Amino acid sequence: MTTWEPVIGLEVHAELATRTKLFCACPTEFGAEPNTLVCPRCLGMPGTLPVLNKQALEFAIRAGLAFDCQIAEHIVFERKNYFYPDLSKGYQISQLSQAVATGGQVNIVTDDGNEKQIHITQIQLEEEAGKSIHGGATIREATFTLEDFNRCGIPLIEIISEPEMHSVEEAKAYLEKLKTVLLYIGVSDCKMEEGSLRCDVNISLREAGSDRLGRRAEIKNLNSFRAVVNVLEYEIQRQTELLNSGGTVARETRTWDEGRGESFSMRSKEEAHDYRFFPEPDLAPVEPGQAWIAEIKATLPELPDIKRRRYVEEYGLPLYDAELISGNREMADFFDKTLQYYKDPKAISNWLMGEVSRLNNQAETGFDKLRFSPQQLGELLAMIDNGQISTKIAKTVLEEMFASGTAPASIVEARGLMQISDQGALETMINSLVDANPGPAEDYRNGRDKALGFFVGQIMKETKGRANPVLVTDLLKEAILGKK
Amino acid sequence: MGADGRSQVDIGHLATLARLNLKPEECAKFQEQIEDILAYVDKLSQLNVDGVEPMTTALPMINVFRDDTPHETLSRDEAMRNAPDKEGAFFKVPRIIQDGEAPDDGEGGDSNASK
Ligand SMILES: [Zn+2]
Repeated sequence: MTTWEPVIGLEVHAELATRTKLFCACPTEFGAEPNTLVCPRCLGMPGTLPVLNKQALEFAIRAGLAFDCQIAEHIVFERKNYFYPDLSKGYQISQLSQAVATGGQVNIVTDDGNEKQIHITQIQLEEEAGKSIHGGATIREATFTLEDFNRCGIPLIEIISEPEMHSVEEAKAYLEKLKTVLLYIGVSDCKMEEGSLRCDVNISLREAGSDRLGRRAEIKNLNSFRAVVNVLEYEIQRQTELLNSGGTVARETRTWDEGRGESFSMRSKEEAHDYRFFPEPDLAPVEPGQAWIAEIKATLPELPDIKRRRYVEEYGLPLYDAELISGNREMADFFDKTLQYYKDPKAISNWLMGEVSRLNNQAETGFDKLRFSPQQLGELLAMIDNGQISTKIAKTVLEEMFASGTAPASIVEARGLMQISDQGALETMINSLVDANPGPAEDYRNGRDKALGFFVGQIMKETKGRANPVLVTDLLKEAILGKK
Repeated sequence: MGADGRSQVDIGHLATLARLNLKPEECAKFQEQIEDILAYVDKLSQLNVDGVEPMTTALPMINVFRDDTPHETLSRDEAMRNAPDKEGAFFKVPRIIQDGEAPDDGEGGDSNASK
């Protein structure tokens, strides 16, 4: 039987984090009362003219630069004509062949740990449509539709990938990386639950190893990564069954029903796709110029790929740690800052990925809202190294730092948590313990290593975990083995 | 371009795209008018444009920008004053899908069915 390989392309729509809409000065805030963030321009009233929001263009260029795209010297907006009630003007101002950015790529790390480049076709700047609420259980049963134009005209970028992903995992990694970079460069809040990030999927199957493309299905407007994964898994199975039974895949747009977990053909009329694009006559072309582009480029932060490589090459972090930390800008910032106060990157990485992440998850908060500072974390780790506290005690101290933001030294002092490294005091304790427990001592002498754990546990209990564990182990061995 | 030098216009298709209901006699009339207009504009193709840069606008300007500063919006009452129909805070429009028709794929399109 033929082995089929999926060929996946994604179009991601990201709303830009501007204060105002793309072509008018209405605010873009989310969740306002319906139809209160509107003006004659975004309502499409006759006689109004669009004026381009410079910040939106800058964000689009910024995204283009972050993905290594070529920024166009001459940018033109196009009018895309179609009627739909959420589109007030009867056309959408979008872009076609002279979009803001072309080329470029997103670097993903595949499951086998290799890096792979997924190329970007182009990034175009366009306006959002309004929001429709259908009066009925589904759009088909609706007897009327209600429109809210608050969202109409909000700027978004559409990032179109080449069809270069060949598994669900690659598509997921692509989306995650795209979102990470957009968050890093601050051009979109990427809140999928608010519709700030949405995705159209193109998928076809081809014979494994062939470079001929099969006929593709397009599924539009997915608003969660989970929905994208579900659609891809569903379509791969549907198309495989079709092809294996001698059928053919129709080139069509399908709609995804998340509730039923199935996609349906949208029996498209040809005319619905006759958009009759033409250059937008109400907007002047844009020529950003090399100087401005260089200025924008200079404000880009260190991007996750570069960070990841730096973590591996300069700090010797495992790829897993480097990928995880660099994938979260706030975590990476905290990591970088802690390194200014404490010199062991792997120890910092362990604590951030372990205890601190655990506390964050528990409290449903993030690295940007931590009460303690990178310097304080550095101090805590240094106290472990200096033998002032054990790792176990450090976890207790961290919990209090997390809750109150108090300096670790103050917590250790106030709660009397300082590690006992006084050899004489420990020896006295250990000698009486060993004398009182001849059985386990004999076991240990007979080669049962585990018996030592009993003694360590007793000492820790007696000192409330404050005894220096390395010293205790050494002294115990001496006390037991020395008494033959 | 037809044999008589006129563009062939599918007026029925254009009317559907523009959501216009034309009577047969209007179709014939507009067909002729639009073909006249296209034939007239088609004179441009007789020009020699060798060495002329393609242009998308006759405006002698580039880079017309606005700052990202919010301005006052319309009040809802004002915004909806001319609406043919409304319900509460919303513009109300007739059902979008005719029987057996597929939903158009509007850009936003993340239509929420009301519960
Ligand atoms: Zn507006």
